[in-house]
Amino acid sequence: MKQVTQAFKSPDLIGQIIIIMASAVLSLACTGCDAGGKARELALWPSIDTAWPGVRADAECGGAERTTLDTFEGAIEDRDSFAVSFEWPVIKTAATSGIGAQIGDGVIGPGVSESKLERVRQFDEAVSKLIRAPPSR
Amino acid sequence: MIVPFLTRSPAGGRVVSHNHAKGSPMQEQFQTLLRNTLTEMQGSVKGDLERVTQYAAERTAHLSTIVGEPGFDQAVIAERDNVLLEARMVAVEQADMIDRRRIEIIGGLLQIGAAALARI
Repeated sequence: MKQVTQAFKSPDLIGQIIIIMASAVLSLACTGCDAGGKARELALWPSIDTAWPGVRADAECGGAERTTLDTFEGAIEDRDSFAVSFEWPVIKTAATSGIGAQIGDGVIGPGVSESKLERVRQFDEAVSKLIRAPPSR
Repeated sequence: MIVPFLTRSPAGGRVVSHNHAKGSPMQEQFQTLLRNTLTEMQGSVKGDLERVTQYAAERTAHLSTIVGEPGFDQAVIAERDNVLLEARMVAVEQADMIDRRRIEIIGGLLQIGAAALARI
């Protein structure tokens, strides 16, 4: 038992524990824990770029002002998540109204309107994901 | 990273290197922590891939029911955007989960190490 206790107190074991703890802290520092940031930069923002022209067209039909749309488009180009989140509600309302107006004019059918409304919903969810919630413990 | 755990034989003899599943309690705790995390992540990634595939199938099925409607070409573009946004949001969710798990693993490692040091 005394020999086991001595083995447990050996400098080798203490050194290994300290190495593991230091490696853990270094790993955190080096990787930066920002896979989410990279995914937003490389995946989410480009998909917003792709979907925006269609959403913009619907918002124009809904009477959104050109300056508002241009400001929003500029925020997307600048990857300004806060500006996009701030301006989006007005755009969303206009896009939804615009889709309704297109059905009323007979420009699109009900099934097409469902596809467009789904795009507005997806765009809304994408905008909400731009600003990351702090990691929960 | 697998760190070989060195121990001395009870007789105080030569140092022996162990690098297998049955090691010190600390080693076992570390391996359990990694195993549980990886199993949970595998299930999550598989589930998310199935979710995107199912969503794409649903949107394609919807398109097939509205062929010939006024503005059908606009619906095709809209559905392309829908599937793209869904897939990219799933990627963001996965990446956020990886960040959370990484923090948890590192926290677990520090706890295991601190507990081991406290016993010395």
